[in-house]
Amino acid sequence: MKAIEVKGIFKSFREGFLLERKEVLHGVEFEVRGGAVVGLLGPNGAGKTTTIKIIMGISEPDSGEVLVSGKRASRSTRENIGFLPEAPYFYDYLTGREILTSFARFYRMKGDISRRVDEVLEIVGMRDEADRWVRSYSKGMLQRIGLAQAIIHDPDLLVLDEPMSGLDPIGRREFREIISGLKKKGKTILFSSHILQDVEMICDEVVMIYEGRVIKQGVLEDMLSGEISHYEVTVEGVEEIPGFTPERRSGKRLLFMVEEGRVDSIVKAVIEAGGKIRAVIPRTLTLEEIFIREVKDR
Amino acid sequence: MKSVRAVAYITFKEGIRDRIYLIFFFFAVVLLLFSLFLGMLVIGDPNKVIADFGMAVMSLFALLVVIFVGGTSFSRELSKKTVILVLSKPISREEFMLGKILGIWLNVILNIIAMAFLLFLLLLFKGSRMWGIFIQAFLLILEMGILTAVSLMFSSFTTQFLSMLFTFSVYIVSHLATTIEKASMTLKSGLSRTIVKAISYAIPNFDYFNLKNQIVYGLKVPSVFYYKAVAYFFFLFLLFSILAMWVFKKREV
Amino acid sequence: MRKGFLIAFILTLYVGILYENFTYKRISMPYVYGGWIIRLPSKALKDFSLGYQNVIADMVYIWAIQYFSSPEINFRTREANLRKFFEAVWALDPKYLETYSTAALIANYDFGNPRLAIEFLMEGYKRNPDAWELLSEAAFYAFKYARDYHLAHELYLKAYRINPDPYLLSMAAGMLERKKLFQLSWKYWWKVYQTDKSGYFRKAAERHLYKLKAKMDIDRLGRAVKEFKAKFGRFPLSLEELRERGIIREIPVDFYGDPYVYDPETGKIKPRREHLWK
Repeated sequence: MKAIEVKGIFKSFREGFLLERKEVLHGVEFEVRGGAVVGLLGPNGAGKTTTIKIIMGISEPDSGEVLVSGKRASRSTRENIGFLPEAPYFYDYLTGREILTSFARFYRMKGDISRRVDEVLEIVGMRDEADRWVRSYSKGMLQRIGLAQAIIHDPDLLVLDEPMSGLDPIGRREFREIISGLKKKGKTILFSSHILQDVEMICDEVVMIYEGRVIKQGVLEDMLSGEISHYEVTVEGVEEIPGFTPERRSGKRLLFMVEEGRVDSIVKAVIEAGGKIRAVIPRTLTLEEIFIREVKDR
Repeated sequence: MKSVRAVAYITFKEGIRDRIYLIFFFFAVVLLLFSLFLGMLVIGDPNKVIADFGMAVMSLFALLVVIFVGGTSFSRELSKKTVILVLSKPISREEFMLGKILGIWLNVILNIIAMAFLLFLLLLFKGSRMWGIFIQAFLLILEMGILTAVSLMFSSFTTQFLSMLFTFSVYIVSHLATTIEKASMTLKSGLSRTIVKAISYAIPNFDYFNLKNQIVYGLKVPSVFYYKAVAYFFFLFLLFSILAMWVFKKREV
Repeated sequence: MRKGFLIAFILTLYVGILYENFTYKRISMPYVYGGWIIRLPSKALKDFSLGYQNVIADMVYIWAIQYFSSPEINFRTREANLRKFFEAVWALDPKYLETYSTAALIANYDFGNPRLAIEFLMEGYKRNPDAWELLSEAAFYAFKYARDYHLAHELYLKAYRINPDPYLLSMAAGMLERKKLFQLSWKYWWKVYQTDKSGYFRKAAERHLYKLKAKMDIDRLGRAVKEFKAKFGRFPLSLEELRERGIIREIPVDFYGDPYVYDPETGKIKPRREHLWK
């Protein structure tokens, strides 16, 4: 069951005084499986937000189509999606509670709205601040209210644009927990980010996007465990090994990052020099490294 | 329709709490009180001056609100990206625009009614029961409804300043329709006369919503006038609302 | 220490400002209340009023009142501007009756030109065919200041036709009297007498009717006496004799039916109730 199918999206904008055409998306294509947490990864300007807007039906692509649960992205598909934009901003002169109550009115809600509002405020941890004007909220609080209004109608699909930008480590952890909780309930979550650690920590699958194109996509685990990038060799008792530069020194120990093929050489060199091998640990590529490599390949 | 109401509600609530209203309202009240002084400068009945001045203040105040709030509200939405938040709900572009128009119009209505009440009480205090004030308030509400749609139409594709300027221009031109028609009469008959006359018919004519003179003198107005005013309002309001919705639909957000 | 100095300094500044405020009024500045407004053509003012005709009319009117009461301006300029000012007001709001009266007031009392005052009021009447008050005012100026009783009579009559108030008819009658049109005046007074059943004007009408009748009767009797004297060389012994001798057919009595008082020595006839008129 495919929650989202993005097929061959091209999008360009007219910008500037002379209305020049700027091409932003060149045939973006990927899928989001139902129940998965998918990270849309890419640097700023890669086209993540544009893609998301098209998925939400806020923007129209020049060509290609987007299907949400098998239907074209439209007003009705939005009934069952919760959206959190990047750096959310709300109406200054309403309170958090009023925002949630007002937004809830757009959806077909089951049961008592005010109870659900309380519930959701509790989940995002904004119970105490709910009755202050949004004007006075900090960035973190805005983010929380943002998430609250995204889940208030209990949608099956969540689309979050840079949901953790600007949050402190504690906030990020709380966020990750909320997302895990939602995942356990069987929700599908697509979120975009340019911070790789966040993606690594919670996503099942990853879609890498760069300069308006999808450069790699797949199950995160597979990606990471697939390749061994290098070995970390910790040695003791030698000052230097010819042909190798140590990465780090701590006390008597030296740490070397060694490509797969050269591990044998360095071990031999260390033993010949009279040193001791303390550890040889394989390191897989981090997501960052995979990303950079993919970009370079283009 | 539910979503239209939801947007209208949010817009209305946000608008009410905007401090700028209080400043406008304060000045309007000050001007109303000033009219008391003006009334004293006249040899005969001061109430005529108070009523005239009061109704003028009411009109101008409503105009200010529409221009200012209509002009800034939408621009604020666009720049602060609250539009995206709302559009991510099950709502279409058209519904959003309509909701905004209605929300702001509701604000304006509230202000007009408040002013009308104040003016009525002021006159009552001076011994005159001018119920006609509420009739003029009603017509003003219609006029401002149209202007709200115009204002939002402009806001959805130009800057704050330009949209305020254009809306104000529409207001002025719509009050000049009769004058332009009269002017066409002074031209020699022929092409230029026809063109000018055509222009005078093509633009909106807000004299349909002006009974200030008749009300002050307590004259009886034929009911046809009111029916026509309401019908005229519907035509113009729909026209500009649809234009606004259409422009917004085309706009990239 | 420094805070104290700052406060003292600010206070001194404020005292200086207060002093300036008080002394400003002593400077007598020549000031001409803006007559510039009359340079605006009155037609333009109406066409570009954008639906605010009434207020603008009020504003111009108030401005006019201030302008004509300010002492500094040249007398001649003021008179020239009077018409312009008010025409602007009337173009904007022709129904504003008070303004015609004010314009007339200024024309008559400030500039001593009652004809102009009448003209203004007639402009008002032209635009407001129900406004009998304007006619009445114009009649008053005609009577009191222009001394044109003929015009006054006409205006009062016109006003009466719109508003059948016995006062107006009385005034018209009075004008006729001044023009010595006694017969016509009698008719008017009789109407007043009939229509004002219990009021003040009925009594006035009585007096005038009495006086008029008396005058006409005494004239006739006087002529009869003269004729008698010419015929018989002496005054008649009584009014009866005039009848006996065939000079007059019957002896008129006063309005109340009482005979006139005749003095056979002087031949003069007097009404019984001379006190009824001053």
